[in-house]
Amino acid sequence: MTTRPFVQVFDAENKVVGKVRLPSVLTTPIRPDLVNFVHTQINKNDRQAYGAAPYAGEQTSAESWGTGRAVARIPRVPGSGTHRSGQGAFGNMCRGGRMYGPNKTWRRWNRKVNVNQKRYAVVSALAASAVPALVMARGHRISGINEVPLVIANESIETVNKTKAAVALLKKVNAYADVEKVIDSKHIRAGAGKSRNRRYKVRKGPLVVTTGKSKLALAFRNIPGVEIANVQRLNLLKLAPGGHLGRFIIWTKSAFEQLDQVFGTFEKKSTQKKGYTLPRPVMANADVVRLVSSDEIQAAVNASKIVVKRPTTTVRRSNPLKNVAAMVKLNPAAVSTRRTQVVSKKSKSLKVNKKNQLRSKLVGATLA
Amino acid sequence: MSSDLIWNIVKKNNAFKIERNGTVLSCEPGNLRNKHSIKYSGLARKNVIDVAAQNGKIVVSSRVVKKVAFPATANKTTTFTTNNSRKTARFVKTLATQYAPELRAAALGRLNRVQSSLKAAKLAQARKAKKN
Repeated sequence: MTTRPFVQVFDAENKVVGKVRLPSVLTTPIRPDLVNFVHTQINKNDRQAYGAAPYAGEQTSAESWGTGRAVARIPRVPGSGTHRSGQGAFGNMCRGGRMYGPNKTWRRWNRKVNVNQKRYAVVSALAASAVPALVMARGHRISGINEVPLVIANESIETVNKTKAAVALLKKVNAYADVEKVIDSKHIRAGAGKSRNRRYKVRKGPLVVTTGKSKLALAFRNIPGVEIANVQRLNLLKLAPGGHLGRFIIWTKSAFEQLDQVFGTFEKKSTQKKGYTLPRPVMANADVVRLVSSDEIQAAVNASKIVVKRPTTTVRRSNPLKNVAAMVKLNPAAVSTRRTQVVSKKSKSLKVNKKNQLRSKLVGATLA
Repeated sequence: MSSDLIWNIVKKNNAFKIERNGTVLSCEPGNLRNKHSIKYSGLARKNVIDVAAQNGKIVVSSRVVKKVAFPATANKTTTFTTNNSRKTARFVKTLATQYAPELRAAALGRLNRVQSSLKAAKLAQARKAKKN
């Protein structure tokens, strides 16, 4: 959990202009299982009923001819005088018959979800949005932004009422990379949805959370992937699209400050959600490595029975003809012989007399 | 946040996970072996080293643990040209030894692969230029 007491506030120039206390919501436990479950349930709530016409394929008085007429016992359309008479009816295998298992409008389209679960899911999605690793894991491009959570000063963001200015602001705070990712992602939907007015699919970009008292929404709403939400009505579908945690959220300062009132803190109850207090983490410290290596646990556990065998040190062999130290080890006299060898080194300018040549040969032979 | 917790949230599904034909890989920056595991995860780990090629140069970066919440300044980066591969290797080695010893082998291995890929690219380019 983020344990910083304060979060910096940035202006339109991406400079720090103040700080805000980190709201308690952002330190609540993160429950991907719950978020996923609540998301699938809530996601069903904007569905409309569909189905085949209730009497389709059943609008005839067909009856089976029974056995003995050398035809199948499927109900057959009565009468004579039209081609239809005598044809099979009703069955899903029949032309003009009813489909198999037609969809009914009385399906259970919506789901009720416990209020506390819904709130837990929202709170948990918010907490995940404050963890850079999780925001990145969702696919947001946030490597350029200055801080997670990203809070923008009211003067800088709430006065924005043109999309051009909104784009400029996003660029300044380095959040535009995420919008570019969205623009690049636009592609034709796979499946039949493309013929049902759902032709294109795009990724999700940043979510701008405000207090709803400005025209900022008008400025931001036409930027691909960007969505706008009100702090008081935060929706899980926007906070965790697809049931995946870690939406990239851009907060206005006032919205960020309101979080403690909207959701309450660990001590104080929420002023807007009746009788609601934030869920507490079961473990104060979920860092398993830290726990295991703590003095308390290390003092209590038995010593490890695994003996780590270090690899035996290999003797490094060096060529005594090339390595002086190795040569000296073998032949302490090598130092003096070497010195004489240096003296007797052949040089082009000097003519070496025969005696010396012989001597140098001798030295070379003893060294070889 | 605890790296175990992040890993448990991220391991089932994330934007960088690649699952094809039964093999599971991961392509996030800082994953030295591109392996989907907590040891190499660039998301879950606290100490992350990244070795990458960028515009024909080698960029070695390490995450500053205390600056995780500030993505823009979270990484300490050093750029090397391909010419001084030994110097780069020495840098990576000392960095890893001090910062995340368990990643030393992986970091050096990746550096080697990145270097050879850059060399290959250079060669291919030179060949192409010659042809033209």
